[in-house]
Amino acid sequence: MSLGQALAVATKHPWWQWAVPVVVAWSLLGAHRQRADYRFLATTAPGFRGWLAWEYALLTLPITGVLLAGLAYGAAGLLLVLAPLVAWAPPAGEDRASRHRWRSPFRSEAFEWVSGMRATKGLLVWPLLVGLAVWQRASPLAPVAALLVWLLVVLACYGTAEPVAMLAVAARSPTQFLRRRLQLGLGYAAATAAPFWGLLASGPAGWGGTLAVAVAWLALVALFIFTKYAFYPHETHFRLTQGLILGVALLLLGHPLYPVLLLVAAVGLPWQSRRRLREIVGDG
Amino acid sequence: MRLYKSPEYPVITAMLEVLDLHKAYGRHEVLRGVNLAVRPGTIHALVGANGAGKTTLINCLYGLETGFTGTVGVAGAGARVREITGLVLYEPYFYPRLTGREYVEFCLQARRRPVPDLRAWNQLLDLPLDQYADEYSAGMKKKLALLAVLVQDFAYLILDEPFNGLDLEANLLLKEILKRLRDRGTGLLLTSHILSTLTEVADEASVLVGGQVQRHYLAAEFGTLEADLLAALHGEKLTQLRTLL
Repeated sequence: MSLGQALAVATKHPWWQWAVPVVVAWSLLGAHRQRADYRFLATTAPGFRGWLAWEYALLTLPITGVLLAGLAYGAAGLLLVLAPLVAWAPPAGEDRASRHRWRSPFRSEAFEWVSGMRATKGLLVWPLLVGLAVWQRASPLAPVAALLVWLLVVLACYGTAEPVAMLAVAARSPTQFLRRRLQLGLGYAAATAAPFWGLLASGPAGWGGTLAVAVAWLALVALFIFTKYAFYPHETHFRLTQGLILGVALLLLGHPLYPVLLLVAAVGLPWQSRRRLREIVGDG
Repeated sequence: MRLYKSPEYPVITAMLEVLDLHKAYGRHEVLRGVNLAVRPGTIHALVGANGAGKTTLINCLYGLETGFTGTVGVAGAGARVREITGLVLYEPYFYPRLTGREYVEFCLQARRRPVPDLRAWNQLLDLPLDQYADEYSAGMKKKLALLAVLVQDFAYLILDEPFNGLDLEANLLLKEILKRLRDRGTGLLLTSHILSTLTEVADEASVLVGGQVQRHYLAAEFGTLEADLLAALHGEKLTQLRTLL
């Protein structure tokens, strides 16, 4: 279901319509707190919050319109009040800079996991997913759905390019560097996916089906890693390609071309990632 | 001069060497036949205006640039530059949501080195190691990048503007650290815009002008360095200044 459809359905529901302004304002708050131009605005235009309030009100105007069209006047009014108020929230950095951080359970060398699990709140999501999958274990789809959600969390860990100095520290050679990234990434991916595989194996899929799912799941993680370095350091490029790979993998049987595309990616990306790393850090 | 000796590496008697280095971006030639040597137990200052090619030279030496001609490497030893050399970049960037401690651990673990207790070094540098490194101030970022190379006992260090962003206290401490590293046999290549600091700690200096080493100075010749630099960089402006003042 698309976001537009979800919005249309929620607007007509007597209770869900009130969730719309709250969810929209919450998303806006998240984006506002991460604004990169906050300091610039604060120093160059001291009255910037008023302008931001107008900006946010205008941004949410289409959603307000949908709510009004659905006769959800109260929810529309609430959104009109909440959206401009977001402009007065402090930026995320202000209260983060001096905060003491807990030790990550992951090895610091696997910086993608250390950082990614913090960004995605993965260490809270994981036990929740395991709990839900165990609770719904009667349904054979529960562990598969949990694996898919967990794959998205793992994918998010490989969406940021590290500074080239970190690459230079770790890369004795492109092949050695990629091998180590794969060892760490696949190791942690397998360790965290193991409970879901266990649940899958105890269901109708059996050990054979579980093995096939596990291999395909890990192969996708490996492709995400290769994609990152094939397009390093261009984050937009590698995030888009990672998204395409995931989309093609999920719709594999939807078109005869998709398996061919995935095969081309599986052959081309490891080669291109080594080539790209050689361009950046040489042969060591 | 004592020679570098570490339990992990043999005695390094060789030197970091750059021979006839040329590097161009498109048609713009940034380095034009640069020759340079960094010896163990010496501090070699690389001096030059912005755009003279200092950072490009450092990147070529450390293997962060490809597509150059000439030779860079460790003369007389089989080791690669990156294996025995620590690098502190002009503007250190850190991966998001990684604490200072985790960054240092990453640097050590990536090189298969044991992670030592960081408390002793951090008593000197006074960093909040359990806070996110990308949220440090500029000076703290520089100190963290220094900490990551100082704990690794490298044979050589390449430091691009190490004094940049440091406060007076850290500045004085860093000078002392560099001198002590030199005395125990580490070879250092450093750049700085603060000429007085460079001449205070360096044993030799190479002046880079327009992508070429204009002159190599030994410590005894540093007296004329400032005047020579003024003449090389601002010859015409000096004439104009004399007419004005």
